Amino acid sequence: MGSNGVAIDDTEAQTLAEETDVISTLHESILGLILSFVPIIDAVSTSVLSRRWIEVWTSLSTLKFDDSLLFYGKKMQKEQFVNFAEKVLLHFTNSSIEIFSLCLTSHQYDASQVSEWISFILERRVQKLHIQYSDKLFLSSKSLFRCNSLIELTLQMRCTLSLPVSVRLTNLQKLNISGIKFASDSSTYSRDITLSFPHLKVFEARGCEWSTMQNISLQVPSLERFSIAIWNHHSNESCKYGTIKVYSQRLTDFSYEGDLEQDIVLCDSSSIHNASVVIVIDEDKKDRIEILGFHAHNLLRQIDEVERLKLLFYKVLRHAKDFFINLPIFGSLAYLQLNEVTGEALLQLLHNSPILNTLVLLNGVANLQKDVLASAMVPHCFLSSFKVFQFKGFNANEHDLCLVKFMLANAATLEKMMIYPAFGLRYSDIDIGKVKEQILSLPKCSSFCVVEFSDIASS
Amino acid sequence: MAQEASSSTSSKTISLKTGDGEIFEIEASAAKQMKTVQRLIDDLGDDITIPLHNVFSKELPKIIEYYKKDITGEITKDFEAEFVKDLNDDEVKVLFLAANYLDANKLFEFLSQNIADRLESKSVEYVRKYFGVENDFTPEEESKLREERAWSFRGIKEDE
Repeated sequence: MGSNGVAIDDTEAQTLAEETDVISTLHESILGLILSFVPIIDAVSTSVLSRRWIEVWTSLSTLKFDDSLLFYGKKMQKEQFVNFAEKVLLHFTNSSIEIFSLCLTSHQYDASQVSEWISFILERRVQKLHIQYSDKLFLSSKSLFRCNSLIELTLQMRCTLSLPVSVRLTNLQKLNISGIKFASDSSTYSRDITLSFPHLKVFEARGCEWSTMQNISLQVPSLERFSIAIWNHHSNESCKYGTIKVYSQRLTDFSYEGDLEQDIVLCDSSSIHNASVVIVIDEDKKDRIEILGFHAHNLLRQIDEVERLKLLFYKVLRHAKDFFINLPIFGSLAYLQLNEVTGEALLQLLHNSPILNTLVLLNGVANLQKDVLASAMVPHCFLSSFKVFQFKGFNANEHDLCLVKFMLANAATLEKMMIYPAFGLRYSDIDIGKVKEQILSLPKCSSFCVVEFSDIASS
Repeated sequence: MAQEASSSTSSKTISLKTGDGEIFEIEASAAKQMKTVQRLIDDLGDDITIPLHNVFSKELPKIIEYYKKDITGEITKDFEAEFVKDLNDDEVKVLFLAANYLDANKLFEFLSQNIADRLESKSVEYVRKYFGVENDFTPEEESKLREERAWSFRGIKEDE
């Protein structure tokens, strides 16, 4: 123990020795307390500390396997890692595990072996399960859906899970899945599949395939955040995907990314504040553009009470006209972010957002006809609430200048316009200084509007 | 320092007396984060000086500093790195024991991780010394066990 260099007499020495005994037992117990924070490989090596410690690590409640962990200065060989994992699981005595994490990024493994490890864990009342693996795995759907101890589940891996008619996990609070293909048990074609997670707060599914013929009903009354990204590249007419229906009452954040081939129905969207909709449609779908426009409308209609909306379109620009017919009115929308829109679409959106405060354009407008703007009615928000306009990716072309002119001339309550030149602009032969001058001298409807130019090109 | 002007409890300060007789003040909202202190307050009232026999004047100011940042929501990775930067292994152990005694969960978990990180490539001998674990193996027993568990050793660093 640290000494302060002061000489001590006998009685003091005895007290000090006794105190040290107490302190050393205390300190030994610290090791037990921190053992779950120590990488598993070091935790296992505590078995050589003393007799007492031989078996202590086997009752840890946290197990984290990561095959990129360094072993003698290098990553473990595949056989070493498998051997290590097997030995740990063999000696493991705890009948319940709080946290199990399996990150396999360095090698490819025998799928059935890894699946055995996962089954072992699922049988031990695991609460937080995290699996990350880039290759194919087999996972017993039955054992997974029966593991009612699960509080957090993260699966980033390729595997097929077959869904029974009803799944219920009463403790699940966070679900994050990616790369999973859901199929249905063949006997259940007629009924909806119900996934019931009464305490789920966060649902994130990225790149999963929900290829069931039936509809999927998500009963998630406590859900606050829902995020889904689905691309069904290989869809053909004969393969119709079921609708995903989300039953929630407290949803505040909604995020969709996909090609609109599969319907999402929000059965109570009144509490959603923030939404992000990213639509990615391939060129070869142009014959379906009308139907997809209809789907887009259905989606947007469900989130028409949001306060913040990010709406991004990829690859649909050429056919975008059809999407913007029959847009819903976004009565509560204060903040809108868009990437690529036509002038017509932008106008339509502005008209449909009566209390808009902030507009952010990531890539300007394409195809803005001067006469469209000339004859356009001034949107309601221009006369009441529209205060901030951020124009990112400004190209100083005819369309962009036309838009800026229109804004300045008509937005009566505009306070700030920020223009961010596009990256390529500095390499073009356009004289930016002159463009700035030109813009600053345009007539302004709002006397207190400040126009600023950012020198840093931003995305 | 500026006082929080919200509820009546948050502007109140509590007096804590360390095992070596020094008195420190903390905000009542910080005291709430230390369950042992809160229990003592519940039993003894918040007007008297709360005695903390197992925490000393070397550690308590650091703990108070941590929770002062916590109640204003300012704990960042940078702050935590700075917080332990100048502590040696023994000092962090004593701080950890204090956090454990005070049942101060957030600090406890942070220091647990920090101690675990410090031990990452230390030798078995160092770990024994650090936690005061007495080696009760015979040399033969120990070498046999090490052989059996060779799969779990990942490269021993020589003690400094």
